[in-house]
Parts: sequence; structure tokens; C-alpha cells
Amino acid sequence: MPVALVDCNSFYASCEQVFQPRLQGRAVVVLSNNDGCVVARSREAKALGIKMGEPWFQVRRRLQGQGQGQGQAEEVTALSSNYALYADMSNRVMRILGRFSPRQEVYSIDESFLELDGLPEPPEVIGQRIRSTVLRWTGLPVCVGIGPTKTLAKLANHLAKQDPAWAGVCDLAVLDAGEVKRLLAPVPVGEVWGGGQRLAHRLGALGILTALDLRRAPSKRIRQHASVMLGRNRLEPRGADRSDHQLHQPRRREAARPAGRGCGDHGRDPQPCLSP
Amino acid sequence: MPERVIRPNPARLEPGLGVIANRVHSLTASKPPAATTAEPLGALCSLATRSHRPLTRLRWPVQAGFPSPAEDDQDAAIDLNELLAPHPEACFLLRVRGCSMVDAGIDDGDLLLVDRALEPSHGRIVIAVVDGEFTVKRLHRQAQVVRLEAAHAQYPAIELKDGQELQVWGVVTRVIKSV
Ligand SMILES: [Mg+2]
Repeated sequence: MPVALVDCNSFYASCEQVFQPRLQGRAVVVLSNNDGCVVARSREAKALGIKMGEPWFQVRRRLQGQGQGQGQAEEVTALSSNYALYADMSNRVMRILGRFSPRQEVYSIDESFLELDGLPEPPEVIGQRIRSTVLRWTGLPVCVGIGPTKTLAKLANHLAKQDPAWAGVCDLAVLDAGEVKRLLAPVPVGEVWGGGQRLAHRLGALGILTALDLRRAPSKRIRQHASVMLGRNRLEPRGADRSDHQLHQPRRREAARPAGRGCGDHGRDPQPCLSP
Repeated sequence: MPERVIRPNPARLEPGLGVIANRVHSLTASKPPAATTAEPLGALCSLATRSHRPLTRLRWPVQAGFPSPAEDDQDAAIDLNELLAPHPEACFLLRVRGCSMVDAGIDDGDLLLVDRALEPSHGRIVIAVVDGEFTVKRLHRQAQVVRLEAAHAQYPAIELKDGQELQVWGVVTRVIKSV
């Protein structure tokens, strides 16, 4: 029973690029409310070594310094955050994803789990279709990770983001167990569950440093020590605990999709609805 | 990206007015951004993304000197979202600046409803990205020839050369005017 995690790439920065096409392919960062810190980076900004949470004045000073040394400063566009825009774009993405599966859990502003079982096509094909539909309809690039549990879907998504060879969609089912181990071994847990630095430390104290350690850990032990975030995401249950398979579907998602409009004018919900 | 076809000649368009008015803080750039000398092409400027709240429901009829075709249906409420935006996730509103499309009924200040889910086919009015800016033009796409046509005698079409790429951002489906 495959689960997909769909996650927008550089979400805030990508939203800005959709409406300011001249910023496409450029280094763009979005700053926190008071314009203090970097809260989103386009791929090009990441390539310049700009870190998440880094104070903007520091970034600017560093890049200007480099510019003096090398003759030309890197060009970075910094934008104030526009959360009304990001919320609107998030709604659009989530509703599009809802067309692909009747079982959806919105996990964050730019991430959603989808259950892919019982659908007419192989998960990887659906993943590619999700990707192209979201890109075409909203202009936002996404990556899709597919695995037997939510945790593994999250890890697969991480792999899809890291390695362009996946073409944006990584289905762990296409790999054998040895390959999965090899790919998960070097992935630090903190990197997959971004921002969970304290959590990563606590897991580190338990000997869980990488995605592979996490996969091997008995879920009860993790449950005792991890935050809610990871608790909702832990690995395959040992025993009867199946909550890593179950998606949390708040009722308001259904309310947001009135009967008969789930698939726009196509009326084919829950089947994916692709060509207009 | 929505469909990429062929890239047009560079043409400077007027700068955006942005409802989404993000301040651009600084370009730590050795060269400043190119000055956008506004040419009065039918460039698109500001843009408002649709909210998902249903629009106010309207009731027919509006008498305008002829019987309303909806008279039999007086109680039916109209949801403008359903009526105008069949793919609500893919529909956006943009405001027109410039007059290069006046002969197509698109005037300065009009709002355009743009559907990104539609195929940009020959003859459709599209939002294209030219030189990093939005522009509204009619897409001509036949027999290997791709160009963006204005709808105003004084504005020449933007011809696309071999190997040049054009990004079509969306297809215009409605024009909303103030009267
Ligand atoms: Mg993301």
C-alpha cells in the first residue's frame, strides 16, 4: 500500500518566481517577517551556499566580500515574505493533489501525503503525472517520494530532491533492500525532518543518526523520545501499530471540496483528472 | 513551466504594478537590473491570485432593454467561480496595462482571467513571458511559424526565430471590464 509524499521545491521562492518570471533561474531568497533571516532559497541561492535561517545582512556582506575578491558579486534577489500569496498557492497545490487520491493528509504548507493504492496506474506513473500537473497548473515544481510508509515516503522524497536522476519522482519499490540501505545510510535524520535540530540531537543520543538507523530502530523507543513530528512519521510498525500507514485527514479538507466539484468539470474524482 | 514553444525577440515591456508588491531589497549585483523603459505594448502588470472563498452569488436578471434569458430561473444563484473558472486551482487574474490588444476587446485596466490548465493552441489569446515580463498577445502557431500578434495596427507581431523559446504562462479565457 504505497504512500506518496509530495513536497514543493523551494516553496516560497518558487511562488515568487511564478509571478516574477524574470526571477526564474536566478538566486532568490525570501526573508522572514522583519526581513531579518532567510526563510526560503531558490535552487540557485542554495548553490551560492546561502543557509536556511541565515541573517540577510550576513549573506549580503559575505557575497559582497566575495565580489570584491573575484571582480563580480553574485546576484541575489531578496524579497519580503508574502504569506497571503503562499497560502493561496498552497491551497491550489493541495486541491490539485486531492484530485489524485481520495486519501490525503496535508502535512505542511507545501507537503501532502497521498495514499496511492487502488489507483489504476503504477505509483511512479501517477507520481510523474502529479508533478507535471502541479507544474503546469500552478507553475510550482514538486518532488514525489513513494514508499510503503509515510516515513519512507518522506525519505524517498528527500532522495528525489537530492539526485536529479530520479526526475523528481522516487519510488522505493523499484529498489532492492540492499540499495535502500545504501541510500539511507548517509542521510542524516535532521536533514530529512528539516528544522528538527533538537530532535536530531535527542535521536543521536539514542544512536539514531541516519535514516538507516531510524529505519532499524524499534518504533516504541522512538515514540518515547521523538517529537510529535517524527511520532507521526515513524517507520514501519513492528507489531500491530499501523498508524504510519494511516493518513490524518481533517474533516475540513472534505468541506473544502464540495460534493460534485471534487474534480472540477470532469466529475471523475477520485481518479486523477489530468487533461482539461 | 507551462508549455515552452519558441522564444521571442527581446522587447522591453512596461514594468509590473504588482498587487503582490514585494519589496525587492537589494541586488548585490555589480550591474544594476536593466532599466525597463516602458513601451506601450499590451503588457500585463498587476496580478491577483484568486481566493478560494466563493465569490458573492449574483441573481439574475439584469434588465437591459431585452428579456433576460434567465427569467425562468429567477431563484438560481450563480457561482462566478463555477461559471468562470472551471479549473479553480489553475485560474489567475491579471490586470492589463497598455493598449496593444484593443482590437481584441482588451483595454488598459481590464482584468484577465487566465487558465493555466488549457492548451495554448493557435489563435488563442495567451499570457506569454517575453524577456522575463508578462505580455498578452494572440498566439499564432501554424506551419512551423510561431509569433505573438498584437491586436492594434501600430504594434507589429513579435516573430520568433528558429531555436528561440517562448514560454506561454497561461491562456486568457475572459476579459473583465469596469463600465
Ligand atoms: Mg518543500
